[in-house]
Amino acid sequence: MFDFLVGASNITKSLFLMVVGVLGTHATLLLFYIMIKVLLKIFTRNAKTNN
Amino acid sequence: MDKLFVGLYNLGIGQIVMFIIGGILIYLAVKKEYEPMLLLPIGFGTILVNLPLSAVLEYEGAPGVLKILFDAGIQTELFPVLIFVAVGAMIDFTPLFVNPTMLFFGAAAQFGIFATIVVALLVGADDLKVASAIGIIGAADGPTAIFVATKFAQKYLGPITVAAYSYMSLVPIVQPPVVRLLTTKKERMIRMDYRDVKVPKAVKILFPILITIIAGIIAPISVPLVGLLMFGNLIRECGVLERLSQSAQNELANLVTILLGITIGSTMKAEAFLQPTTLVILLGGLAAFIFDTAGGVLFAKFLNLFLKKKINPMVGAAGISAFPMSARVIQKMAQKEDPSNFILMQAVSANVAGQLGSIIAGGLILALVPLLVG
Repeated sequence: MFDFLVGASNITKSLFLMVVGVLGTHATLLLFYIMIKVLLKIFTRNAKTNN
Repeated sequence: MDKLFVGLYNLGIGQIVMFIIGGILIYLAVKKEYEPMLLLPIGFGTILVNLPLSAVLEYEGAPGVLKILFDAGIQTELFPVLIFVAVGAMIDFTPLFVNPTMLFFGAAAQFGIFATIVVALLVGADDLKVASAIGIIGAADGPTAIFVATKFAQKYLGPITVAAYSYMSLVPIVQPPVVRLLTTKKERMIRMDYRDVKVPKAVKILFPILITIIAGIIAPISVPLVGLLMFGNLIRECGVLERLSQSAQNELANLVTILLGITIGSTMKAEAFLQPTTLVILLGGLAAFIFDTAGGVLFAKFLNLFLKKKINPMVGAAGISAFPMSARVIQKMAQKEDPSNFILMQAVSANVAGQLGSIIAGGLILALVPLLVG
């Protein structure tokens, strides 16, 4: 998967891990953010309609 | 006669040093109340396992009680995962639903994990797996640190766990100087609005289910962590399993914590602990907490460049997983600058987000490192 890193030093690999790790964590939590917003929109609207 | 003093003949200087270290851990737990639930069992386990010819590990060729517990609970990763059920049952995600933007601080404050991996390699960690196990101390989340260390650097499990829990309890000492260094007085006095919103029960129930599915698809290896944390949370939020929720929060948490602590202590044998790498682990752990704090604060300052309504950058520091200590520290700092400033709820939101962020970061490390190492 990471063929371009074959033979690279551990430092290079760790820097790559840092970039992918930080971006990956942000991207995943962005998904959670969108999910919370959508859930709140759906169920808050439903609650208002029921009232 | 020799047989009578067999214990004395087998006592070395390393074991005496470990008795002192075990004693210090017990002192910190009892006198200073630094994570006593973990540090006391670890301290006592350290003494137990360093007794000459300690029968708790092996006796006449048969595994001793701590070896059995280690093989059953740590080797299989059962204990940290069970702790996650308990933690999930304790977490109330409501502040996060009210302030979902704070999720991003929970991501930013994981920077320390990844930065420390680089630093650990620079200062002499054996390889990327060991460096990752050191970096994960920055998750500020004991079970995640134990889980990753068990997979990547089992021989350093003891010092990594001690470092993780020690620095979590030292958050009030580690974070404030870093926050003060990176913020101005004016920034620390920024006020933030908080509005109380009623969160529908359906959201609270669907949240753990959907999080498990999303995290499981992105990083399947993180499912034991995220899945069991969210299972605990579902028990709490469903509203029909109050007894199970209470059991998870109390009986399960207490029982597994006792076994986890003393079993981790069993990894603290003199020959494994008294190594230069232990120093790298302890310093790496400190660096991880400093980088985490800096990452959260600087991310908030970066966002403030674009926001009309400014965020108090101290809230970013609460994005680490040490809950609720970090949020309390930030609130205390805010009130020191302005006694009428109240940013506790925002800090709690960031703190809860940090619990999610640390597990996701741990999951990504578990998924990526084996691919990089090849």
